[in-house]
Amino acid sequence: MSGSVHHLTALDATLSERLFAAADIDCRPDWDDVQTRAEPLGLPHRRTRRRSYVAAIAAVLAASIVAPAVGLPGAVVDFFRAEPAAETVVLDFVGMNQRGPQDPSLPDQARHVRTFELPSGAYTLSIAPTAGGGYCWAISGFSNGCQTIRSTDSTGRGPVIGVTYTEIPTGSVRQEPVIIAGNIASTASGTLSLTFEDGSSQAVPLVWVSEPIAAAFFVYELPRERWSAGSRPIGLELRDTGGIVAHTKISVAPQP
Amino acid sequence: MTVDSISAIEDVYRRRHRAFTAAIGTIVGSRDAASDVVQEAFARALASRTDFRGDGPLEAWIWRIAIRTALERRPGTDVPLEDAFDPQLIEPERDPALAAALQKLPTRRRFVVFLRYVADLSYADISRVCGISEGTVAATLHQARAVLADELGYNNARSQVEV
Repeated sequence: MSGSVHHLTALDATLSERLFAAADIDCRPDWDDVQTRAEPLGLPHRRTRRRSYVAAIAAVLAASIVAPAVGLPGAVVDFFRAEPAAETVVLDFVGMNQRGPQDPSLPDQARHVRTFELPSGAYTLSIAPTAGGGYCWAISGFSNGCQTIRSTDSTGRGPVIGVTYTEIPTGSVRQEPVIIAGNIASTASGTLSLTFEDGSSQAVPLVWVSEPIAAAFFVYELPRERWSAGSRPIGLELRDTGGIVAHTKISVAPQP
Repeated sequence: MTVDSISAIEDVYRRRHRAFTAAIGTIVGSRDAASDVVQEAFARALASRTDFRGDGPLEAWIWRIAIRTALERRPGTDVPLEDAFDPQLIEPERDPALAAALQKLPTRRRFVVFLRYVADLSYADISRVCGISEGTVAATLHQARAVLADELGYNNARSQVEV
């Protein structure tokens, strides 16, 4: 995502600043000249218009904002008060739409929802609603996806936990972080926990996002002490006061 | 593609003109030539905007056009991109320590460092521009970062590669 540095350590920031400062260039952008040059190549010279945003759909969606449930554990984000996503992120959502999904996202409505500060760096979560009432999400430097059907589990009652994760590296593979991230397409309240082979569990913070998204998101980095057999994660559980409302199995063990 | 794509290209041009000029300057060897190449590259992007398939970020697509245009201005254009890249990334008198540290890096690593820290491209964009996997980009940056940290006396170099 050009223009959006994914995981800036202090060293990255310093190198970027020093290199850019040392590569000092006296720039004088001249867009009219670009258009003039393009004319012989087949582009009529015309004044360009700034991109217009899809305001009509935004107005309808803004009118339907519903306050999140009282007492939700974890952070709550008002989607329409969140900062618009960076240009590069918007273009990523455009790119996702190029794959021809049945319910494409609205890239111009993408918002920067939360930056998760994890041991391996910062991971930015951006979300764009879809025209059909779902949403697409992008986590910088990790993955992206869409949830266009607010499905329930086999009982027809509980929400479904959508999860994406990387495997535990082994052998000569370089030691990348193990990230477990996902979303719950529901406004059901609850706490999310990661369960492990040794029977223990770990709370995973959720970020609840208001309408039109109406879903919760999580991004979690598995600590190194949980990479060994016998102590690895095996599943995710969403619990409320009545017990488990959703669960899913995961397997971060390296594939043979 | 429509007027919106022209606006998108213009947005990239206005936001990133300096980064493009700095990067291209290292290939063509002078600021004046770099400015001319950048203008030409964006003109080509405008004229061929219908060729953009959206299978990656728009800016990465324009970067490939710009680098190709820059290489046309150099002799020996059949030389691989990373071998054609002039390692004179910066003006040494502006930051002598940094210039000296960069000289410790092989050409390929300097190129990837430049695309990351000056052109501010993501790992995915660098992968597309250079035609290498993102894993290789990450590994290359990790190695370069470690060398630069040692040479510049930083003590907070990461021992784990970010993704």
